[in-house]
Amino acid sequence: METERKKFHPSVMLVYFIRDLRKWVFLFFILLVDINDRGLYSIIGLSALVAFILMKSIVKYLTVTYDVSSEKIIVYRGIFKKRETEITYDRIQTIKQRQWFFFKPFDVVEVLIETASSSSEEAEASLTAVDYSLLEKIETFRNKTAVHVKENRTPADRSDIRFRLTNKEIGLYALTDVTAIFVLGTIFTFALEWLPDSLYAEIFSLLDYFEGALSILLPFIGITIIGALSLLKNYVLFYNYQASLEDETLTIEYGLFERKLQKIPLEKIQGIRLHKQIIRTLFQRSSVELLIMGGQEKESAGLNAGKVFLFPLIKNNSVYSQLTEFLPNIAIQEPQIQKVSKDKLWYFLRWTLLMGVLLVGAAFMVNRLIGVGLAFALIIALVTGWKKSRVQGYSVQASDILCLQQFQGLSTVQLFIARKNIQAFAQSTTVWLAKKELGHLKVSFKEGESPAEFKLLFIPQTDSEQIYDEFWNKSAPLS
Amino acid sequence: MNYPLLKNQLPETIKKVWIKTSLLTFTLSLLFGAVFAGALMYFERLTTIWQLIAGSYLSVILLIFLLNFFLISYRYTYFRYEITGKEVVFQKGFIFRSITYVPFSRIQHIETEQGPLLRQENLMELIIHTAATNHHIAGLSIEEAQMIRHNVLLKVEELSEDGN
Repeated sequence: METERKKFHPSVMLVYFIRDLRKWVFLFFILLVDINDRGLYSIIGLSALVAFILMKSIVKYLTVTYDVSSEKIIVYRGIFKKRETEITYDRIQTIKQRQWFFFKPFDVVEVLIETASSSSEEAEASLTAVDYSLLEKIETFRNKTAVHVKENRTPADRSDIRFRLTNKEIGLYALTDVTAIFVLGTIFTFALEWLPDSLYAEIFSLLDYFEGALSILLPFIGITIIGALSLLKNYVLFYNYQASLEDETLTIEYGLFERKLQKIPLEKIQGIRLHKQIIRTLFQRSSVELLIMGGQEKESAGLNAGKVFLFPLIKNNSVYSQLTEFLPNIAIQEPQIQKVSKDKLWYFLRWTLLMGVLLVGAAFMVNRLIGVGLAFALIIALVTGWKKSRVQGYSVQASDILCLQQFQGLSTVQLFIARKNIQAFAQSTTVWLAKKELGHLKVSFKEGESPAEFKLLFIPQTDSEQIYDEFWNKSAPLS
Repeated sequence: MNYPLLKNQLPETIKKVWIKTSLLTFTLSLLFGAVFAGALMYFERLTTIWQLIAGSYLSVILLIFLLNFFLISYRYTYFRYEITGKEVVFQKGFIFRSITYVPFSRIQHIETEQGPLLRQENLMELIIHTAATNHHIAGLSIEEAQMIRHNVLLKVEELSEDGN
């Protein structure tokens, strides 16, 4: 059989290099701020690491090859242990493309091919740097094998359903991103551990010099840094964010240095999560996340890893109408949430109170500062518990859609899921809760490669039964 | 107490299997602890801390064994299942109770398993997999397990032929 094995475009080395660099960034940080300040060793270590990664990238470029024929795509890998990934066109679920900024001059893209394989490792094959024309070639081969006939469409249809994130919105998203504070907090504690003492001495002498003025300014400086970093990160990630619907397929496109394009067939969408984060609610904004079956997008940046947003930030008053347009197959309406645990506060607090009070008491015995810290944490936990009890609710919607609402992290989260996408429905209680006619409810579904669930806790059994009767066991057969 | 139970129970013989399993696990854990303690003693390293660890290890495995052993009839009484027209229903527990509904159309595949203890009693374990969850029926007679598997698969097939 005639095969034509090709190497990727040489710019792929830069991609490998950047990706490996990302993996080792932690080590770099340690080497850069070496504890003992012995510069030479750090520099040697650093250059050795860079050289190693460079070598690895070159070797990888030389050894990874691919072959696209009319029947299948094959990716060859490995020096000693050779591996071949073979994908036939009919097995392809989605094709994603990504473009680094340095790919543009060469008209090169990264093509990610996703199949329905059950193990996440094998689910995707990456043609990391190939000519743009190859993507078209693959699409042609694929359409030949695909059974479905594409509908005719006019260009006018295409621009109809479109969502864009303006720069202003990205800014707002970045500045209300609470996770940024946690990230900086981690970096800060890390820095405390690793920064050399001499640097501290300098900082403190500087503080002395400016007297108290600086210490008042310090928190503001901190907030400014957090804001700036968050702005930077989110502009890089979400720059020119666009979502559009065409041919039953959602297309999402975003990114500054690394432009990502993702095509998601509507039938793969299991449901959505609507996040109403407390700060964003002040600005009348919310975020919409898609629940997708299959191995979509895992290595995306930072704490949002694994999340696929449909609308990273959208005005509250247009979210439901936009959702109806974008997801015609999941008929989502603005839910009339029936709150289920407003008067069940005690159940949300009891364990926290019991453990918390004991812990805080013990901590005060040991050290007053730790005691104050723990007491503060306890108060936060109690307030969260209170909020959880206030927010929990549900709404059974038309077309077999269930909306469950819960408070998670700092957001009120609404899950919208169709009955056909729920894998199992469970009700549970304990003998004591049963006496009070209370129980829990859990729906299990699949998100990405892994199972996921959504629970309502301490809800009246009448509500649980109502969800069972009106939603789960509705007279319409499941088929 | 008003707590409706589902129709089907596991066969009585499963109790025997459970008794044997818990005895066997206990003996093996005990043996493991004894060998470990023996080794420490042989090398004269059995310090107070190790004695404490050994003591707590012993009490933990004893507790687990007792719980397992004495809850066998409780587990037996309150584990129920039922196959309705469109789904499989599982019921578990009385103190901590749950009912789980798994529609046929979500079932991905069914697995049967048979270890030596189950084989002795001519029983089989049935595991029903969906895309997100697994559900176990701890022991069924071989005929019954195969019948259920057959019936469930038949219903799954019917549904998928209807275009679900």
